[in-house]
Amino acid sequence: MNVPDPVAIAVPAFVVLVFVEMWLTRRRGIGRYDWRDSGASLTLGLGSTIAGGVTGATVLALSLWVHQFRLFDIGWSIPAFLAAFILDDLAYYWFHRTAHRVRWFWASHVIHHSSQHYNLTTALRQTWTGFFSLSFLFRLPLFVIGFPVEMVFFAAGLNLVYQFWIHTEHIGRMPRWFGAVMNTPSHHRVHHAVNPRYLDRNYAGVFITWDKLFGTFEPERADDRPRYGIVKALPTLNPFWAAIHEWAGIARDVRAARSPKELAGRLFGPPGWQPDSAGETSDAIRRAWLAGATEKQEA
Amino acid sequence: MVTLLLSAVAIAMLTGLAWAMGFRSDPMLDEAAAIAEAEGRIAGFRAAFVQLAEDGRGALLRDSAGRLAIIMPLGDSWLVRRIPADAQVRHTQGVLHVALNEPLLRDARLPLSRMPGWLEGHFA
Ligand SMILES: [Zn+2]
Ligand SMILES: [Zn+2]
Repeated sequence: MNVPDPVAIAVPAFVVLVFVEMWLTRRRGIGRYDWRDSGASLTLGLGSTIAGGVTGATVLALSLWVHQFRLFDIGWSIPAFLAAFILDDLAYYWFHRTAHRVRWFWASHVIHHSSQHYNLTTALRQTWTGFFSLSFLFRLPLFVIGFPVEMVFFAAGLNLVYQFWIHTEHIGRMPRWFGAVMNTPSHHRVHHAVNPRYLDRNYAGVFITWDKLFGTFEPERADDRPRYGIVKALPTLNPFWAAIHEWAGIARDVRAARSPKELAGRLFGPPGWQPDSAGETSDAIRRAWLAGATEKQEA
Repeated sequence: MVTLLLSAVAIAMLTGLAWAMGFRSDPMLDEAAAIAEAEGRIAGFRAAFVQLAEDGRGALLRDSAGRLAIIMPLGDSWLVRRIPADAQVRHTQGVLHVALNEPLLRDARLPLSRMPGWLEGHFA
């Protein structure tokens, strides 16, 4: 079955909605835009589309190849599509969690987090090197199960389109019943924040259920306003540096590694990892913050 | 190819629009904002001393444990770095230079007419 690409169809709507959000930001004084940051985000979005176009055929061929070894013959039907959509979102959760916990995958995903702003253009700040870091591996189990390749790609496209609207500060809290199951602007603001309380939380794509199930959920709090970006903010707004800086860091660290153990840590340890637990990983930051919080309480 | 061109036009248009709508501020810091920025971005940092940059576009801070941090401007936001204890720091012609040895930030600069008193003894 020939299916359309939901992202391509949604692009004109993205453009209009970005404009609407800019206008609202001016009018309401909520949220933040900076032309240099938005230009970088949009350029990264275009670059990601180009990179995806270059590597798309290879990913498709690989998916079709894996699909030969499927366990079940699943045809097109609404229940099958719903199952594909939910399982693709589960695969996304684990991809995304790994992308934050393993430097090799983080080097690609960090691009999405490299802005200190949180607006609809941030949603379009997407990776250029996803193929190189092998992020497509996480979706392969769906083809092994037997979901049609086009169906999974269509579900993945819808998933990405869903994630667009949650990158805004203009929507406070969604109704409780909605936020209980679905990813929302509030949940995803937490994900983009560097506050120790919020680091490495809310990996969800569409369903926040996965975070609740796997212990990574954190609600947004009024007394801990999110500060967006990455622990070590980039010293430039240049999109090209945003796209490759972590790979450059990996190359530098790999050259300097003095043992196989250090090499493994530099490549596959958590972002910020350094030998002798000296690194500023999110776990270390959270520990330091918790220790500080207890100290304050005891004092 | 047409899509690519259209996308490039849309990017230029939205970026230009953001500029035209006034999203191009170069804000200044006051002491409270500098403290909030440093404490919010560096885990465990509790500011004890603050020296704002000459033009308000940055700051130098020391925390209660004697650690130093520098804040530099970045678009309408800020870039915060801890200054390593062994970092080379010098002050010449009204500018503080900190060697951070990062790829795009070898020499962090802050316009300061004079070194604050609380910085004395920190660097040889
Ligand atoms: Zn993420
Ligand atoms: Zn996001």
